[in-house]
Amino acid sequence: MIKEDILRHEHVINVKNLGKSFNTGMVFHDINFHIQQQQRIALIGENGSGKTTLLKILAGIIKPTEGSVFFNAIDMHNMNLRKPFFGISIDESMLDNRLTVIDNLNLYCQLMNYPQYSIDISNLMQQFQVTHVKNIQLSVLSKGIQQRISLIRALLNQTKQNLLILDEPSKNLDVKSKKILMEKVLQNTDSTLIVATHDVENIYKWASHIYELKHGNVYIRKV
Amino acid sequence: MKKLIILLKKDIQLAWLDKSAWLSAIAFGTISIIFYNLTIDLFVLEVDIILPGLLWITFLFCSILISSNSFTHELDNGIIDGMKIANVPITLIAISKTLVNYFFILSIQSTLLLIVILFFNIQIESYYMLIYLAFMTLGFTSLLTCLAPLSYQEQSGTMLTYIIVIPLLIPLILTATRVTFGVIGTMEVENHWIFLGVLFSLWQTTVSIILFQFIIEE
Repeated sequence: MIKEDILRHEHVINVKNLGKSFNTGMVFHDINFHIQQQQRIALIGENGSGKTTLLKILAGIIKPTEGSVFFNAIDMHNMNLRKPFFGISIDESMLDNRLTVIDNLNLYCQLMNYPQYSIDISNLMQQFQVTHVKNIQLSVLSKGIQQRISLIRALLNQTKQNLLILDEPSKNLDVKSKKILMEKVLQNTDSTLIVATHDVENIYKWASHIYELKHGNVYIRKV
Repeated sequence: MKKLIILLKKDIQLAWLDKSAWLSAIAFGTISIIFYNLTIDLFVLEVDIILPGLLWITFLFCSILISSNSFTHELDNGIIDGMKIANVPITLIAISKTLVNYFFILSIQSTLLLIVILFFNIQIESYYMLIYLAFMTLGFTSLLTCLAPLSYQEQSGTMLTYIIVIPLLIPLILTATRVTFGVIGTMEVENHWIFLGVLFSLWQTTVSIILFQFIIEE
């Protein structure tokens, strides 16, 4: 239902006069852009340019200092509004290290009211080759495996997702996992995709637009 | 309601797995009571007069041990952000954590009360007043739990939290101490003490849970 609503809107994400400052200084200022349904955005920029901060603001995780983000006309930073459903994988795993892999994924699906999640979890675990660690506590697993679990969490319930946000998804992944990730991402043609990456060489294989964060501004170009 | 039950199950499981908090609280409480027994009992004939105050100070520090790290893991790994994305209301996270901490703090208080009865040879004169004390503990727990993220966010957060929290808890500790006098039969407790205690508890529980979302958002 949400997806049908979104298709009626030309712009899925509207960013207006967005700015963010920390105690250390300004990250970006007066950013304006919009993202349309099914666009595949590669967000690039040097270390510290504010890619992760921008993604977190777009997802409604942190508040901007100025401006606003609208996701299909819903203000992402209004605490009282129900946010649209989207998948996300950022630097923080959003998973509880004290729980097992399967408990973490089950918990997330239960909280999302996602029906019949077991099949989806089991398929994704097989594809990312992590079935053998499903009953192991997350804290004892390697960074690479933890990254795969974080990606599985982001890719769950893809049919319902309107947006997929990934922050350097290939970090810590081996070649095979990178390939699986790419296949999964390309399969899902309905969702809007925003990926922050340093892998500039491969951007042209999947991205429709490149957004470059430079000196506190966003420079947009079509691929 | 369904989401609250899911969160409660998770929080109980994690609190049980993370034994360090409640085991250190029990150890601290037991050692304190033994210490009181070895020192004060020898010099003060009517220990009943100072025991409730000492007991509530012990309960306060046991509760701090249990609740101070309530959200450390959640904030470290962005779990609360994950829950926000899954449209879990922030107040539900606060309610679940408060209820789980309340269960553990109440269990520890009951255990310590039994130890006090054994060591000081006192008797419970009024069992129904224990219900009021349990209710006052809820206000106590909710404030300590919901303000715990402050200690994570600020550089000198732990100190700041206790500078804010302990003065806020003084009215509740005072009324709880008064009611405890009634529980062990040292003196009659006027109704206004019970009324004040219940009112403070209700007020602190409500305000803490409302404040929690603003603390997390900031």
